Amino acid sequence: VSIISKKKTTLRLYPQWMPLAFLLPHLVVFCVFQMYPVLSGIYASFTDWDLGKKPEWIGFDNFYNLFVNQNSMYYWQLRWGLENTIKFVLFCVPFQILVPLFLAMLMSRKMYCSKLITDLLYFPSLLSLAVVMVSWNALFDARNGYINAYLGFDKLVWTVTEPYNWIAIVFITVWWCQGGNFIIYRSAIAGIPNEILEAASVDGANFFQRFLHITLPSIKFPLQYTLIGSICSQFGIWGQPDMFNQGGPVVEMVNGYPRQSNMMLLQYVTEHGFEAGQASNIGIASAMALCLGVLMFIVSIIQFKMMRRNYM
Amino acid sequence: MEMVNRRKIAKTWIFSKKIFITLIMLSFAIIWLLPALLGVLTTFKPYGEFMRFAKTKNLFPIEWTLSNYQYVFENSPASVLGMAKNSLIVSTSHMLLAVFIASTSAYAYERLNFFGKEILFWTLMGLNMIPGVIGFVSQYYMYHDMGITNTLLSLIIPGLGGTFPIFLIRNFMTGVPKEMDESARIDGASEFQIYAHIVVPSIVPVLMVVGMSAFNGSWNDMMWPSLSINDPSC
Repeated sequence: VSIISKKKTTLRLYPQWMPLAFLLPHLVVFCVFQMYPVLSGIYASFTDWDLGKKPEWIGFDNFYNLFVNQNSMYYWQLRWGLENTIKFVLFCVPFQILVPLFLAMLMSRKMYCSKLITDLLYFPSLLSLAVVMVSWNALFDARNGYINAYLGFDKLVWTVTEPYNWIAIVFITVWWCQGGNFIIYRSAIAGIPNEILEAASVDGANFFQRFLHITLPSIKFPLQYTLIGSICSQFGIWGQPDMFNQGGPVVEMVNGYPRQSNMMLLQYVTEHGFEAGQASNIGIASAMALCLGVLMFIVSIIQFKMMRRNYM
Repeated sequence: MEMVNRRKIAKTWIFSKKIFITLIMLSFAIIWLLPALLGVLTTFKPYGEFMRFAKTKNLFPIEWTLSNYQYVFENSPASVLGMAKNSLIVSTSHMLLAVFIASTSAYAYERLNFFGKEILFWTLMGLNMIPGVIGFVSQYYMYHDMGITNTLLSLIIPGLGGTFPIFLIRNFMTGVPKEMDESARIDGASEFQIYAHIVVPSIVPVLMVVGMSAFNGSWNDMMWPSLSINDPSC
């Protein structure tokens, strides 16, 4: 039995305030620039506030207008915005998982220049949204676009025709965002021990069976991780519809309010909340953002619970 | 003889299979990049050629020109060089600050002892799960009150408070042997010297990851700058 206690003795030669000195930069930035806006955003969603005046506490009036009052424009905008955002997430995320998974499976074969090809497939993710949208707008242009000219869609106006604008936006997003998931799957698949796959093929498992029973279970963790990441990031969709067709065509009028086919919730938030938009009703914009935030929070909690049950 | 022949055939078979897959994937990658490549090719077309595309259907410019670049560098309202300089200033300072803030904080959590360390750490991690979109609107008016909208500073700050980089760096730092900084401590090095001369040099890979993602995020951010910078005069 050792006389010296097993408990780790730490030598402290620094003054008491030292940890604080190291923590302070982050704590200050975190509190001032991250927590304060969240708290004041929650406060602002209970106020009547537009650009010229001070915020004024009105209790739940904003939420009444958003959820109950059908005569209010905001009721319909929240509904349409949420509907479109969720629709977009449902269309986009499966492809954002399947396309890179497919590519990574193809890349797992033995081949030459696999590094170069990986880099080429990842490359779009390095582009900024402005570059992506300028290139794709040229491709989807109705009169002179490459797609209409070469693929024979005769004068199809992609930006305003109902299912096609969704297809275009989802396609652009998958093209732009799949790179990160692709890299993760690629390294996960490369990490599967070759012996297992070889043993399976000796036993007579074909490519599809090996994929289903070996590859998929071995990359379960990265799959769930990317699923969470993709869903949470796609809830913040804003730029693609905004730069593609500014929210899209008006498809119907409800109570005299125009419903646009691609208008996402975050676009309504920026329209009402910022000087760059109309800054007409900052309180309502904050309340809308709060709804979106709560939704994102719930999704991430559910996924976190799922991961915890399976892995921790 | 037969054996050698068979081996040869098997070898060529494997070789041609590899070539085949490589060619397929390479062509696939090029198709994948086509939108970006077409964008690059369009920059060499003279003004108006794209507008006649439905008739001419030419991918490559009929008449190659650099006039678009000349316009962008010389005549346009703000020179592209000035804008690139702004982007570079913003992204670089965001990256440096993010790395500094996250690594000092991770050092405190990993190497120093203080009351309530783990509680504070996991509280911050939990608070970080609150989606930033909730504070998105009021953040703008906070910057407005501070008088930093329409300045580069307002683009540098957002995102610096994230806690995920701290988590990453802290995890990486556990792999750096504690004996090194303890011996330095006995030799009379101050905490900041240990941080700067011993710990930071041994966690460069993770700092690169954090820095790259911070730079990339700042460089590719579109929404916040377009809302925060709304005065065309500056």
